[in-house]
Amino acid sequence: MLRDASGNMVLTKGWKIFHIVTAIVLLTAIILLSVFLGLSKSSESAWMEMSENNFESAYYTLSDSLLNIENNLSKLRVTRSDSLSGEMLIEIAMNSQTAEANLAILAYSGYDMSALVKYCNQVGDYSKYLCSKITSGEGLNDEDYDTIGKLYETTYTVSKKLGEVKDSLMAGNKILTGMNELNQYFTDIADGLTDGSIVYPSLIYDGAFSDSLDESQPKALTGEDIDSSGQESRIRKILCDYEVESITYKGEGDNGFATYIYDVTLKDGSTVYLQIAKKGGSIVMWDKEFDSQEPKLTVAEGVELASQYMYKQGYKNMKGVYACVTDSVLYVNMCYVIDDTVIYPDMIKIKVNLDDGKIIGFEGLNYIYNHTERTLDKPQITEGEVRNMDFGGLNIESVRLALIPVEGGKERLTYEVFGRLDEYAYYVYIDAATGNAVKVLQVIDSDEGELLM
Amino acid sequence: MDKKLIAKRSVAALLVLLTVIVGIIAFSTISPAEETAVLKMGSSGSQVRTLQTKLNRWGYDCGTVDGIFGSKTLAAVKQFQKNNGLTVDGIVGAKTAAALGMTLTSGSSSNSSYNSSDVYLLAKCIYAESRGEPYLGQVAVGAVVLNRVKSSSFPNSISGVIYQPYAFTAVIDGQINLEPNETAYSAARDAMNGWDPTNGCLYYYNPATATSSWIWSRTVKLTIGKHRFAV
Repeated sequence: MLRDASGNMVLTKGWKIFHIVTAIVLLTAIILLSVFLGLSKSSESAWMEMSENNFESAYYTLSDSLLNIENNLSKLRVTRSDSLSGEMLIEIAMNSQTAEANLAILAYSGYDMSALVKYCNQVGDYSKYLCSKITSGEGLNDEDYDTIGKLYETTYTVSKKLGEVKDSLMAGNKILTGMNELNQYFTDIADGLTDGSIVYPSLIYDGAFSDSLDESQPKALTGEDIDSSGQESRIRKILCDYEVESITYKGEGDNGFATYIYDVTLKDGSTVYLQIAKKGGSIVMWDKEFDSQEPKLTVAEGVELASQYMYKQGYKNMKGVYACVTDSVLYVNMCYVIDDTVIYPDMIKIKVNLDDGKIIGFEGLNYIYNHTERTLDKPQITEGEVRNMDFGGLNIESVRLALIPVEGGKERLTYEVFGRLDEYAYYVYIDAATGNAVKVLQVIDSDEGELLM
Repeated sequence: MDKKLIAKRSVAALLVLLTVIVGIIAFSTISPAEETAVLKMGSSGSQVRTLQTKLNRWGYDCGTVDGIFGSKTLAAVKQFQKNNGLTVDGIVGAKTAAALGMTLTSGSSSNSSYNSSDVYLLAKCIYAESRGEPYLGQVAVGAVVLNRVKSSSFPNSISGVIYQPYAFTAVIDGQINLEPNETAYSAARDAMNGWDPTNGCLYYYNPATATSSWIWSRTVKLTIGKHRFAV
């Protein structure tokens, strides 16, 4: 920059050009920025609009599904044809699934939908249960029709209350921004379903979402209550693969029965979490932190180690029935076996580290709840008859007797048919008394384990 | 005043402007990378089997060919990428796959990997919510997710429970997208295999960071590490 004699700045031609260019650059930048900000503002409102549309679409689909459920429940009350009832029940189950999926979307807008989710889950599950009653030939009884009637009333009320949301939406409220206005409708429904002001029959049936309180008693617990202190030698015996450094009693736990919880520090510095039953001191579960290493032992060797551990801990007639390996960890399902019949409900899971052959975990809750001496019915059909049944091209690899748990805490004696079709493995369970297929399992997990014979 | 300097400055100013424009455009058009078929930690299935077989054959040690992309496979893939001048990220994308002489397909395999993606999701949730907690605390977080799947008041799938709005803070603040470590995977598998140190709990909270006041009203069943588990 140049200065004249009095010290004032003189702009040369070049500097003028520079200033003009700078001014243009700045101006363009400002214009561009404001255009961009304006655009992002408008894209924000576009996003808002899109979200609102999604939420409203979810709301309307939910309303439609509930209306369909209501309608089918209503018709069911006056239908006594099995095939027609079955169709209606399937409609209800499908619509409750749609309703649940849309409730999940609506919940993203911030409303608490858990009471409605529970309602949809139960209605769908109960319908499936009724449907299976019909297909098994049992049919529906008066009690079922009574429940259907009450469920109709529930759905009618819920639908009607949900309809009030529509009125509010039509009045210009938005799901996304009108929470103050709309939340009341949803809260009303939730409150009504939980405080009993909306008729809502308690659903007790053989299904996953039944209201039946889990009244099952731990069948395998016997003996006197033990003290939480003085269990050192017992705990050392349970962790016989390790050198115990110290044992800390953490307090009582509740698994439907009382347990004592301990933290055990081992000499190698790692910690074991351990739970034993207050009554008799059975192992409930324990788990040890480990580093996954290169497996050095085979699955068969690992299963053998698990069997030895079970024997040492005083469990008799336990056999490895299924094994699955991830990295160096082998999970073995050990089941009680009588008369060559696998008793699946009496299951204990053992974790073996295939690196050093040590047991690193034990889970015995199923065994504690279910194990008891049973008298099994004699199968009415033979293994040969099962092998000759039509399994649609399944290449049967093995058939054995197995007692399996069925819905509602019951047990059933079946033939377990294991086979492959294409690349998939299947387990088909055939009722040993009637020859009906009870359950089909497909191994869809690629953590595919192997059945141990 | 030399014109060169002015010209230089003008050019510099124009460059700044250009950068700003490009930046704005890039920023406003940023979009998530297109989903393509990749094999990475947690993947499983026949393609992983093929990958392991190939790597093993060429002297990279994947351990047993079990179809599961675990830590050993990861190490082998990284070694392969390093030796072949590829980006060492442990992810088998199109380039690594081509170098291995295999084609990756997507879509049809989604069904068969259903359960593995559940383990992956569960491990992600465990890692985001409870890394730094004792191992058992991590298994317990996994068990809480699975207990919710079983409960009628919650969605019926692992993804449904984890992505349920406002259920897990890690989903809200984006920590769910961190890659889980081996411990989180082990904890997830334990929980999937039935280990439940919580005795059926549906809730847990960290008293130091818990934000919902209602969670205090639940019966506390046990405390593992910093987390309290409630019915």
